[in-house]
Amino acid sequence: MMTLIGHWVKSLIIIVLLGNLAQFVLPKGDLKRYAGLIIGLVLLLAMIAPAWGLIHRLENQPASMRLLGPGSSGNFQAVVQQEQIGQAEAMVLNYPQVVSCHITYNNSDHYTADVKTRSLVSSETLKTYIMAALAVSTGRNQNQVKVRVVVEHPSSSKKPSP
Amino acid sequence: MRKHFWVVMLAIGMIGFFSPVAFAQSINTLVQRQQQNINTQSLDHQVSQLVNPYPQIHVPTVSEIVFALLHHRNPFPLNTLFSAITQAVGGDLAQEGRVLGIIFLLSVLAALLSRLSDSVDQSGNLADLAQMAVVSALILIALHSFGVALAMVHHLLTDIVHLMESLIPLLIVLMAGSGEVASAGIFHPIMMLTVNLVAVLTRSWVLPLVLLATIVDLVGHWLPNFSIKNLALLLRQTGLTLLGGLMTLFLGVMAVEGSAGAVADGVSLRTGKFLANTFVPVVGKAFSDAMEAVFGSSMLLKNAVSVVGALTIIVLVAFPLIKLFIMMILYRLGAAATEPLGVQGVNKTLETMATAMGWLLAITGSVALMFFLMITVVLTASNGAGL
Repeated sequence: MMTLIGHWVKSLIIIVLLGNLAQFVLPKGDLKRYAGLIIGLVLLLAMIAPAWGLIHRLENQPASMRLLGPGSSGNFQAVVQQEQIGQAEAMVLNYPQVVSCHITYNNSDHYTADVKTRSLVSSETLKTYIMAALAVSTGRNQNQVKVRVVVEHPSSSKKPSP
Repeated sequence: MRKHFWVVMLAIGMIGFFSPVAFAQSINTLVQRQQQNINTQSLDHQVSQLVNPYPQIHVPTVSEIVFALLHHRNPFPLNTLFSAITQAVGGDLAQEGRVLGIIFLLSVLAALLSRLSDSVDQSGNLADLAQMAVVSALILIALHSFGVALAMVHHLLTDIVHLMESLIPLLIVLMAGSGEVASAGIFHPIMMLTVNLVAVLTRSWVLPLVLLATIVDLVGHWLPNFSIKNLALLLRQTGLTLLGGLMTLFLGVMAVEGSAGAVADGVSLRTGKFLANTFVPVVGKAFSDAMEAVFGSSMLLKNAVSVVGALTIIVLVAFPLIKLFIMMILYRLGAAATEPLGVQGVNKTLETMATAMGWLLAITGSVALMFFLMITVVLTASNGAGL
């Protein structure tokens, strides 16, 4: 804040300096008077510029941006998506035998879920459960959400399939 | 019969155990024992480090003050402070007088130039240019000395904050030790908060605003065609309003909290003493007397710590304030003396510098006064709880 005020005052002083220089250089006459008027107007504009900028920014900012502060709307989308995925992961972790779960977003409504289980679990049931969890957290219909589930459990890692 | 005997023996034993605490120990030994238990070394070290730039002054340590007070002697002879201040005044006058001499020389030159150019060139453009050149040299000198003063104020604020941060914990511990638990609990967060708030606001808001206002003012004197003097006024007003509001808030909060804590502590101490006196059968009186002695001795220590803090603040603040005051007076003198020469910019510049020094003086003084009052308010509020 103080640096902003400092910059503002600095720019004002520079304008005053240049204006005085112009007054010294210009010959006496009509031109000098008009130049004086223009310099005065420029000075006025520079003085109210910060207030103008502030009002402008407040008007044009959507509510979501005001929440997040400076940033783009994509930023806000990403935050919301991350939160939705985190909630879905937490729900999957409540499923019996599940040790860890990591969901990533591919593109519109396509997700990949890496799930580690303690023992063998029916992957169809698990997939339905994950789809339901994602549907709940994103607020969509369950058959709109597409999930590719990669299940990893001890028995599958112990004996590598030929 | 046998049971009776044991009760009597127990009572005699308790009297024998407690009475030395209450009566045989003088306040001297009590204070000495307490003093060995609390650690004042860090405070003493900090104080001696802060007062280091003024070698002729010796701020007494906590134990020295306690010793002097117990033997009815004056712990801090004021003569040394006064003689040091007189020396500092002499040194500052010599140093700043040189700057004033240069300024006088410049303004006489400016007056000569403007008269000469008047006779050579009738349009007055040349005179303007000459005046501008002289005023720019003057502004360079003035800004340099303002920068020195600003750095000094900054440094002083940092020093005082360090002092308060090493003083407050000790003061709070001793406050709780003399029975004022509620006051200690109330004061601790408030004191830490206010010290840091005042320091941060002054350093990063009030001082820069005053600096900006001074620069804008000086530019206005240098280039009088498009002047933005009212902006300077606005900036300065903002800074000083901030400081004034802070001071009002601070004084109000300190006064109210101080009296509230003192009342609560007074009540709890008195009830404690009454309970011990009436309900502990034989040794109740001895017990409450011992309690009183211990509280009294730690109150003595606490007052000694506060005296050290207040003295250090006075010593730290006195020299910069005197330097600022001398600068202000000399700039005023310069403004008064250069006015008859008839060069407009010079005397306005000197006047602005004098005013800016005055503002710096006011800011430093009020911050120091706040910290000083904080120490004294804490001291009197907690002494008021009294036994």
